[in-house]
Amino acid sequence: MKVIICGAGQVGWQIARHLSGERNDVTVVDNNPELVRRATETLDVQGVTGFASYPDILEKAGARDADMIIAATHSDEVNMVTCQVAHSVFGVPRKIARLRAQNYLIPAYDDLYRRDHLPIDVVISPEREVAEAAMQRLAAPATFDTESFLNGRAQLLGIALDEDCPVLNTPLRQLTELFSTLSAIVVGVRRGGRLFAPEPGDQLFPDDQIYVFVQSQDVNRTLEVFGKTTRKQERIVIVGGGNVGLAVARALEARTDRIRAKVIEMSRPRAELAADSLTRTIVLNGDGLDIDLLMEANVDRADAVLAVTDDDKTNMLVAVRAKAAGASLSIALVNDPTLVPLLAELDIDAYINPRATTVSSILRHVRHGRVRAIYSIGDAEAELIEAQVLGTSPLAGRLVRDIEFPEGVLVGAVMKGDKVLKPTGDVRIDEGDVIAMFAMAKDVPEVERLLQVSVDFF
Amino acid sequence: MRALRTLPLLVLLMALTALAMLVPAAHALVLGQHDAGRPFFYGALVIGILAAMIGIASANRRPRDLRHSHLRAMVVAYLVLPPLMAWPFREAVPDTTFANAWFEMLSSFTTTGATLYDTPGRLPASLHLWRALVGWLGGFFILVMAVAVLLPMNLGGMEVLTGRSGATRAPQIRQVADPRERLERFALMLLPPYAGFTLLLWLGLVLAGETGFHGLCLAMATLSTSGILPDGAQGVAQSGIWGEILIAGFLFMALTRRSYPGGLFGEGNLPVWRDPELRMALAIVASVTGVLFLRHWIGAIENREGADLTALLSVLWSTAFTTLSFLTTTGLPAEEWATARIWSGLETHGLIFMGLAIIGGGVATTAGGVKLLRVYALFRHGQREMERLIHPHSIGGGGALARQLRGEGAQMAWVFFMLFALSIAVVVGALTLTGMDFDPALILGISALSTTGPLAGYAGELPVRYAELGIWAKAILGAAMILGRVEALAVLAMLAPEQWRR
Repeated sequence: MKVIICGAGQVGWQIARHLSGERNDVTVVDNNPELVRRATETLDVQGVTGFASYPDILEKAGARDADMIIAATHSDEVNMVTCQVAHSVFGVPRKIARLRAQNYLIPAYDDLYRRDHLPIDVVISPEREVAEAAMQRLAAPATFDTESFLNGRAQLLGIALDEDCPVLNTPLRQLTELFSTLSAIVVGVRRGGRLFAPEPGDQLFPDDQIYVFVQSQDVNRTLEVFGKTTRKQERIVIVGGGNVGLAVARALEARTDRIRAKVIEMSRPRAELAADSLTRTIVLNGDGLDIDLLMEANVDRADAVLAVTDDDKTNMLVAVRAKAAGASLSIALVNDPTLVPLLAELDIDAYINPRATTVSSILRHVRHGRVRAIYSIGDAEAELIEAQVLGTSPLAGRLVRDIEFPEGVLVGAVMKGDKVLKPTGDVRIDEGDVIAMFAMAKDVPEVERLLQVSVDFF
Repeated sequence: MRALRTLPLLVLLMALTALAMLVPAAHALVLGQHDAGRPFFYGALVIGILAAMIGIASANRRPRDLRHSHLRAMVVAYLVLPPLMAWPFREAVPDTTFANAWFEMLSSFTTTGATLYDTPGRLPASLHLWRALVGWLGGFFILVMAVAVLLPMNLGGMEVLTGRSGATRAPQIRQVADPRERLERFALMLLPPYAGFTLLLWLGLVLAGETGFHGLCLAMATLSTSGILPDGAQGVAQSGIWGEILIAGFLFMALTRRSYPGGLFGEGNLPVWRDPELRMALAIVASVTGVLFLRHWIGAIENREGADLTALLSVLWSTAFTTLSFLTTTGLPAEEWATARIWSGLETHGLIFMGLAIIGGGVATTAGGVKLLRVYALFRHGQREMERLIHPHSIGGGGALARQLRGEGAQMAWVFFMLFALSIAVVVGALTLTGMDFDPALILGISALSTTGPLAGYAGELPVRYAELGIWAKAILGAAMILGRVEALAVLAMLAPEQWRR
């Protein structure tokens, strides 16, 4: 498949890496020659330097026979015009654009992105995705990574095990027998920096980071089994009242359990805007690093502090300061992936990388067809793929134990109709079922063969 | 019509006064009371001719600043018109002084309704009709003026919402709307509902059992919040509780400017039940009713009469009605109000009615007082300050308008409130200088400034009678009524040294 990616920044580059790794013909367009050179040097992609929305530049990038265009430049308007040009001039069949401004995303104006108006098939809003990621982090405070699957009925939890975990040094097979009613399945283990799919005889050790696929109603029990206590989070402080902070605060207000959230925002107009659109949440105006202001927001008794300003360093410092003042959990928004290793040193519990979130959600739409969700784990080392089983698939009509999955693939759950099942050996997979699989990166092509869908499926 | 429009406002008002005089003249003619009707007919003739002559003399006069000239005309109207109205009144009542007639007309025209002639049978019916009519026209006058003259100048209560008067004007605005066009437009827009509502209420009251004449006076007293009733009557006569329910429904007109078309300045999409003034009024009425009622009820229990359910409900209703009536500065007490005292054996605190009258009704309605919107602004400001005690850096929500209301709006409201309080102090001080005791001076001062004339009869332990006042006290109260009606800010805007030095 021929894909044009406009914008070679972090998001564009990551998407290019994913797609080029899957043997697609990828062209990267950016008006910064440095970024284009970086992409062409490090990845198997072609590069075009120029303004992405100009028709001649797009033609140079091969828009005439392109199957898809992904507009991920930093400007909403350029992304929109790029999609329009790609549609009107070159007839590119599939157009994905990243739009940041929330005003473009008001549901009342959804009509705008229809084919005969402004032809964008998929609109990706990083802020919205990040807010969702933040909400997931808040929902499972003891985990370092979460993502929901199967329409929210199942979750992937990343849990870091420590010394007092009660199930250490036990083969996984025994754990399954011990907790037979628990739907949790350990799908991935990272030990000493290496990620692998565990065998039934493998044991868990302290300092392992494990990925558990679990049905939503069992999340708390699963966390208990692995020695994590869950506490109801009532007091949440959000530092930064931008699009992300505001979206999180709104989502918190919409929840039925009364959460007392406070938002700290530096810019007064922005704070007023936030105060106007929130009802129960208290908005404070001032510097989030100011300890007096943090104490005014009762950060010392907060269950979670979410630092989501637009500055990475501020976020990290706020998270550290809040943790030092007594907050139970601190989550920082970090754009720069090279800062991530610092977070553990600084005792910051979790982080949100908006670009990774955006990449993940764009990829989900790129792999269209029967693949319904894809979550990239770690540094693209593995993926969790949620897909619908087609009648033509070799999976259909067979029992789980009879299917020859590759070594690095584990089935997390099977959803038949509305029912989510634990994938024991004697579960039969039928046409139309939705299956969630953990697959190491090297096994993804084999999984796609099993599902009879590849990226070319359109 | 075009020629009429170029006439000065005062001349037009004089002509309208002359026209209005034909109503009592016709009424007296029908009743055969020629002695009462004749002065009004002659008055109409003379004042009409006078207005025509001044009109011809002053036609095509173009004042330098139309807006200020209209504000001035509005205030001067309160000085010039009452003597004109009082003149036939004085002629029709042989045993009264001109000063008394002037006070009566001024109190009617300012919708205060403080009357010197509360002895039944003292005046013929046509004169009572004239009083009620002047009150009704006075209510309409202030309604039109508030929308057409005061609001564009950010006076009359809207400054709480719109901010400081004349803050910024873009250089490209070369021309502002002519207030005369506004006057004409709003007068034509407001007259049908104002007259229509009056007619509707009259009809309703008559259906409920009121006599035609008393019903008309009640309807006009309600819509204009003047509370002017014939022969010293207080409240409904025959229609009982149904009449009171009807009146209460129309008293809501005086709570919010949304009752009339054209009064919707901005935030027109806000549903009526979320109107801050209406909510404020309902909260005040509910809480005051609750407190007063509980007090009476506990008194009644001690009297072993608390179990009488009919009496209990009747007292509850009459308390609510009286509260609403004084809040809108109308001052009609409920019929059963006196029985509440007998029921519980307790005196009522008239002080609470003084408080209600000071709060007053809605902005740009016929009600007087400080106005609910200002009280609301102060309330929101106070609420916000409470929040800031806990979170000093917090930002209040609700939108730019709400923020403006709490900040600058509350400041403007506070300035007005202080002016109002100051004027109470000055009026009360002046009244005590005439030899009056402090208590009646306070009651009279507040009833004049809040344009709630009947307050004098209920606020104190003993009713204060206007008829017993001296000439100086009447003059001071007259000035206070004008001040209360046109609002201190408007008077100050007119009297500001920058105004007359220009």
